[in-house]
Amino acid sequence: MVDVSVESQSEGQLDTVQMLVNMGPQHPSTHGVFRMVLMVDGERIVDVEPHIGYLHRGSEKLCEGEIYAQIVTLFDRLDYISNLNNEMAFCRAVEKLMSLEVPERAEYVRVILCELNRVASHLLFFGTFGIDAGAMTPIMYAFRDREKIQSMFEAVTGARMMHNYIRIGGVKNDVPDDFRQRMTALIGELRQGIDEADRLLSFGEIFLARSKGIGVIAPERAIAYGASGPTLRASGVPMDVRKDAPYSIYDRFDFGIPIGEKGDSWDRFYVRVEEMRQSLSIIEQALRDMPEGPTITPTRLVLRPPQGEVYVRGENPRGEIGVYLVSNGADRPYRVKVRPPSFCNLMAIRELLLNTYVADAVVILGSLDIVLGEVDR
Amino acid sequence: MVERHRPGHTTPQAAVALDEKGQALERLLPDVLARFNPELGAAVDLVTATVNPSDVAEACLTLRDSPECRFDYLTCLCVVDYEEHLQVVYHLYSTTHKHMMVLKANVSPEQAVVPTVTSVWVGADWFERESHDLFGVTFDGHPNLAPLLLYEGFEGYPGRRNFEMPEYAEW
Amino acid sequence: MLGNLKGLLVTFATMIRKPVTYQYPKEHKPIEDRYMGFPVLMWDEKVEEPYCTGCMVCVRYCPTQCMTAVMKDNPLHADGKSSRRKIVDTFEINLGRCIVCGICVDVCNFDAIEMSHEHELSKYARNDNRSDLGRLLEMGWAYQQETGWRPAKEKAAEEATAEAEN
Ligand code: SF4
Ligand code: SF4
Repeated sequence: MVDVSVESQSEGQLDTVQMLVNMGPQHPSTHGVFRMVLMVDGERIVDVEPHIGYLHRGSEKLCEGEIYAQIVTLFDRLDYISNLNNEMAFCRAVEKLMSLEVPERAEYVRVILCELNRVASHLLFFGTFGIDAGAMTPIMYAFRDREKIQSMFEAVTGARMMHNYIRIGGVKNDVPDDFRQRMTALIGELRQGIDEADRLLSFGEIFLARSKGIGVIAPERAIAYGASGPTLRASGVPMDVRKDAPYSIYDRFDFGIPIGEKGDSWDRFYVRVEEMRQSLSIIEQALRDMPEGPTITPTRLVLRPPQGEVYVRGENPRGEIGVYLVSNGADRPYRVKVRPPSFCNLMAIRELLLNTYVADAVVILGSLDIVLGEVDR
Repeated sequence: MVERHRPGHTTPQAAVALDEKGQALERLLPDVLARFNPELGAAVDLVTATVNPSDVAEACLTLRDSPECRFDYLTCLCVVDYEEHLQVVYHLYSTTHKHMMVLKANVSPEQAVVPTVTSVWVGADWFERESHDLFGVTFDGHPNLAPLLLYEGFEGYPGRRNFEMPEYAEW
Repeated sequence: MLGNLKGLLVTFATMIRKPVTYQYPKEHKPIEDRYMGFPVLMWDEKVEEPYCTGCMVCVRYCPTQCMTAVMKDNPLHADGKSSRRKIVDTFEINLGRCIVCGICVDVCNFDAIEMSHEHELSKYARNDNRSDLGRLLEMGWAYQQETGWRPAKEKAAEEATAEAEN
């Protein structure tokens, strides 16, 4: 794996040799199959070449051969940590193209579940980021709480990860009768759990030393890279699709957008912690206002949306997801393009890693919170 | 995909409904892009402008730098294969004005060359590599058009519609 | 420093708490009512035959094309015992390929297929997850007994009559 190159550079008295280090594709810190070829000079990274595509399944091409109802299952598998947010993005694209109204109650159910999914996703990040920085226990706390969310999903959608619950025109079926009580209890538990995990990890001396001031990206650079979500907000840009172009019913809720100050790894981490609290408050408001009524606008099984193209944006836990849907009036889409948030965030990795230490590479990569299923599609 | 044509049946078109920002952009764009003779249109709620492929980079630079537009954020870059031509589609967003537009350029499948926009937005880098991989569109001036999603030495352009999918057999 | 102490406090507090872990193979986490396990076929007790007519609608809409079905004439119909003119002859689901999406249940017009609570996938042989009609019905029967499942149409009809009576 290690290849010693011939050129050497003398730095003071010591003779140093540049070395090529292959990180990945099977490396615990890459959260999937992602490979980085690092050129290191001692401990310092002088060049980075990221390689993706190990998980390329051709999802976009597959979409062209499936009817609209089946594509929801493919979107589940893009960002497999925040499935519901993905489903919602696709369903919204089709609904927008067809000018289909979604019943009020369905919108509320969607928002509640999507925000819950955001909390689940950030909890996973919380744990894995701790591991990346060398703290082994936080993931136990994070997973204890995430497990409760997964059980909730299981009770509502019937599946723990690949739900296929949000359908074109609404949601698959109404929430169970004890939904409200269970959710209220769950929110309380999550609040406590998040606070506890936060106390455990966020302000620990060692953790701060590992992540503060590491991997700083300036707001202009982040924008130029097309970064979005917590990665961009950590740099101090308050960009959130839920606020900028409110979709679904997000304009009815009162919530804040946490932003960071410096744009370093710790900011990216803490923005997410704060975001979990905001999401919980959105869920509370939505639970309070949730009306009764139908949960799906009945449509035909085989949809034939009108000819045209549509682009929808949505806020995923990892950033802005975009779905570009071209229809030619047939029962299958003509072209589906997904703008995956982690793909754009990951693009900045080279700039983030240059001139840092190898040990920090793991922390920086972890702080971007990538999901390779979505990067490679 | 074989399209079914039922007699007496015309494919309905998606309804166009521009919001305020879209309408403002629609009025604005002919002036900003005057040099490039854009063909303006609308796709549901976004303004679209089609320009010559050779003008893409300059048009993007103009759109990014003109004070009324300030499209400083490349949301998405993709290629759609319309069989007789390939369409390179840029979804642009402005973080200051918070509006969005679509820029398009049509190229022929045999001579698919578009100037790169990596100098305008660095974030176009991987999008262009991906499009090169899957659709065989060459982005002129791109620093490194190495395969991104596919492996080195992959034959053909799997994104295109005429790509033959290998057969799959169940074990 | 303060952060470290706070973190230690959390650790000590957790020490005296009851563990939340389920020791999996010995102890199973309870399954929610709506849990979608693998699709299974249902058994019509009244006529002693499967509900499935082998109409292949589910086969066509399955996103992974993991099922096959063959239809035959129903011998019980000829005897006048059953109202189903056609009945399933062979049916196979490759559970290794099934993505548990539930589309087959949504599209079936005969309430013949249902998402069970079955979810264990480990098998001794590579092909053991290709479940044939017998096995699917067996799994379905277990599910029927466990949950007291009744076809949706029957339930809807009963509810309608109950409402009419009220
Ligand atoms: S399960 Fe239902 S849809 Fe599938 S073949 Fe049987 S009757 Fe038809
Ligand atoms: S659950 Fe989905 S994948 Fe599995 S058999 Fe049914 S339709 Fe096919």
